[in-house]
Amino acid sequence: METDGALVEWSMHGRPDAFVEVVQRHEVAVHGFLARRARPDLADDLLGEVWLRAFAARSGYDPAHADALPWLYGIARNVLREYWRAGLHEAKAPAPDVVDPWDEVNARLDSAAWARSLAAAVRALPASEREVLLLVAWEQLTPAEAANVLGIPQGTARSRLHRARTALRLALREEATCPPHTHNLSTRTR
Amino acid sequence: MPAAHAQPEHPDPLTVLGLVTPPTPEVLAAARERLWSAVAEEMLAMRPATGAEEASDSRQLGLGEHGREH
Repeated sequence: METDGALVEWSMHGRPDAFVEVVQRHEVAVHGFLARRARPDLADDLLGEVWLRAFAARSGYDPAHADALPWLYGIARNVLREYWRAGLHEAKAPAPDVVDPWDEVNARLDSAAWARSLAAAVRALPASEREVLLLVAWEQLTPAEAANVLGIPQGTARSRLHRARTALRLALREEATCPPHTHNLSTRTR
Repeated sequence: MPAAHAQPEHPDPLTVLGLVTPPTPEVLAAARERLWSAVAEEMLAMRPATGAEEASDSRQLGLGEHGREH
C-alpha cells in the first residue's frame, strides 16, 4: 500500500484524485477530532472545509511523513480556531476566549455525573497544556506527533503533557467524591 | 453476566470523555463530495495544458491537427 506521503506527491504531479485516497483513510479520525472539540453537527459541516484546506495546502506537506493524519489534525485545528474566531458559534457560546471550544465540550459531557469532576479538572488546565493532553489521550498521538500538529518543539509538547498530567492528578486527588478509576490517566508515551 | 450487559473496558477515563458517535457514511460522502469538486476543477484546468502540449508535440513531429501528416 502506498504511503500517504506518496499519494500526496502523486496528487501534486498530475494525479490530484490520489488525494481522495488519503482523505478516505483518515476521514473518520478527523471527524472524531472535530466532534470531540465541538458539536457533532458542527463536525459534519466542517469536515468538507478541512478537506478543501488540506487539498489547497498539500504542496506544503512533506512526503517524507508517511502518515498524513497529524498534518490533517493540524488543519482541522486551524479550521476550528477560525470558526471560533469568526464568531460563527455566537448563538451557542458567549465565551470570552473565542478560540477555545471547551464550553461546548463541557456541555456534551455534563450528562455524565462521574465525568464532571474530571471535565472540570481538564477545563482548569491552561489551553496550551490541555491541547497536548487531549491530542495524546483522545487522538492517541505520541507527544512527538502532537508537537507536529501544534507546530511546537517536541520537548515543549512533552513538558506541557507532563504538567497537564500532574495538575490533573493533583486536582482529582483533591476531589473526594471522584471514583477511583478516574485517577488512572495513562496515555501513550512512545 | 450476559454479554449484552458487559461494559467495555476503558482504562483511561480521558479516552472515555473523548468517545463520540462515528459519522454516518452520508456525512463522510458529503464532505468528500466537496473535495471531489476541487479535484475535478484542478483536473479540468490541467486538460487544456495537456492538449496544448500534445499539439506542440504534434507540430514538432510535423503532424497535422488530427495527428496525421497532410
